[in-house]
Amino acid sequence: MSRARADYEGVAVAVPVTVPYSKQSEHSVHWWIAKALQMLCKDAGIAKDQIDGLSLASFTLAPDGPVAVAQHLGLELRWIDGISLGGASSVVGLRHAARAVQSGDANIIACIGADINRPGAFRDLVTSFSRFSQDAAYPYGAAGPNGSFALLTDHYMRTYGARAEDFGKLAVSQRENASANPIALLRKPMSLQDYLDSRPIAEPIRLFDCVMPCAGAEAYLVMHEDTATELGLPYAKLASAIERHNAFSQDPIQFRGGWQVDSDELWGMAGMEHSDIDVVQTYDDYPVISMMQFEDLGFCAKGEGPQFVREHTFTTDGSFPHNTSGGQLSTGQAGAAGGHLGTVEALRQVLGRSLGNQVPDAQTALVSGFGMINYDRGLCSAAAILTQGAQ
Amino acid sequence: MNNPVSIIEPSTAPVARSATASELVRGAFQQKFIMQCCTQCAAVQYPPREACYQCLSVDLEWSEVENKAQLLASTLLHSSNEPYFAQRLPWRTGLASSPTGAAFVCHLLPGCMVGDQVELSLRFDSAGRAVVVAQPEGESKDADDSQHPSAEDFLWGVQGRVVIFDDVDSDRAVAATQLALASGAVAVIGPDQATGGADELMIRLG
Repeated sequence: MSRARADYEGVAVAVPVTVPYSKQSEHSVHWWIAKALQMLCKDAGIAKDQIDGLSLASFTLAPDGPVAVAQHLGLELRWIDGISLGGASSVVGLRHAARAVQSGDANIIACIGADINRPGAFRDLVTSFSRFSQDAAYPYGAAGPNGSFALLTDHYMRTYGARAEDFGKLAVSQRENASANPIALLRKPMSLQDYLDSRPIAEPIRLFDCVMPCAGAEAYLVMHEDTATELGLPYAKLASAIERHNAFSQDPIQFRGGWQVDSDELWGMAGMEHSDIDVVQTYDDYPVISMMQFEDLGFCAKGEGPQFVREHTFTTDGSFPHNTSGGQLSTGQAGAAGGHLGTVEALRQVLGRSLGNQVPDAQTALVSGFGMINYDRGLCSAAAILTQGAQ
Repeated sequence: MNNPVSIIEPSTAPVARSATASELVRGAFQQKFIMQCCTQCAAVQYPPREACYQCLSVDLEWSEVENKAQLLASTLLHSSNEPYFAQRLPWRTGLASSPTGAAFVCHLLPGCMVGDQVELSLRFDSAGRAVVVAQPEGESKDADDSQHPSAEDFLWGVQGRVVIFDDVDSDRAVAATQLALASGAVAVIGPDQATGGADELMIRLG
């Protein structure tokens, strides 16, 4: 019998930063991590010696790990965490960091997602992503995640009647959101027709269903509310958070993620209803996955994702503000930073500090993560609810 | 197809496999659809593993399993990270669900329809690796090489073929040599430059 989980009382999430992305990087990932730390210290008004915890997620750090980064950047730490869960890394890292701060194991934790993109780097990542992928997925056309998600999308469309126009509506809305975000890499206006006309990559997936790999870093600080108050930092509270791995392992093909297992607990711990949420940031490596998150987090029932998309608008002034910075589809996917993008944007929105369009009077945000196609499906799901704290 | 001389292509399908997954070639030699089965709880394992996903037993044995499966999804790839496939696009793959509980990402031969039953087989691809190939159930294999993949993109069985091992000294190569000859191969040879110590057994077919 499992015991009830404690809540995240006292945890403050603060100082959202983004090192502006670039398509390629001549620098190693250490440079991007250093830039993120610089920005965290500057915006928080602290010296780097005040950071005593580091949570790091990166695919391109090898042969280094997080502790090598500590030495590289001269950080003396009493708490360290390396998260290798792809698009779920940020929410999971946030959960770990929150517990460390609650227990007093660390005072100020820098949570960073950073990755670089060099010619051939993405191919290197997908060829040796995992043993199961190498043995049983990559030899079948070597299409990487596009091939895997194409199969899930094909099944979802056949089962639940989703149309290309439904996926396109999400992609087009995100592009519109990105048009106001000065650091989004893809800001050129895109119409639904542009989306539909984009070339096939792995049918039914089109070019504009796919994220653009790039280099970048996203980061924030986790500390106690008392620390944030001492430092005079506006912060968000962590109202609730969940994670789940390898859920529904016997489903013959993925049509749901682990959120479905934990959704009630997510809402219960927060003491909130779906209608209480002002902004939603889903993990949007492909639009079908956003639709799955709407369902599995309970915004609509399983299979009603397409209808939900048809009934709502997803821009910052819409009925369901979603991926308000443009999401990965329009800002780019900087590897593990891609998972952090949603957390950083959720934080900006509840702090009233969006780089692009602000959702008016946003008090609450939900961020969701998804990651790791180890063989045929994404194994990791996570979600968190942030609410406005002292400003 | 009976030319005994190996034609080395400028590029091949991906070569890398774990040592355990390399064992699938035994099925390709024998034209049997073999998978690891747990000796304790009988669960069929795929992808190949070191322990049973159901009961954690490490006693897994390769044996012939049900090769009928339902095709749940398909995709036509227009983009690939590997030159071998990039030269042959579009290329069709799918995901088939077996009554054993295993799900197989597989190459789809022409005529495989989503929702229908397909027959799975282990065949050699251009890299000499065993891959899972789906064909329509009960349909005769009339070669349609206008689409990829077609039956021509794979080799099924080694009857009358020359088999070349790159690492002829390893124990596994010795075992595979015996298997190849027992399966009808006419000769088994190793190249001059044995790589030695390779984790994977390299196999090419003449």
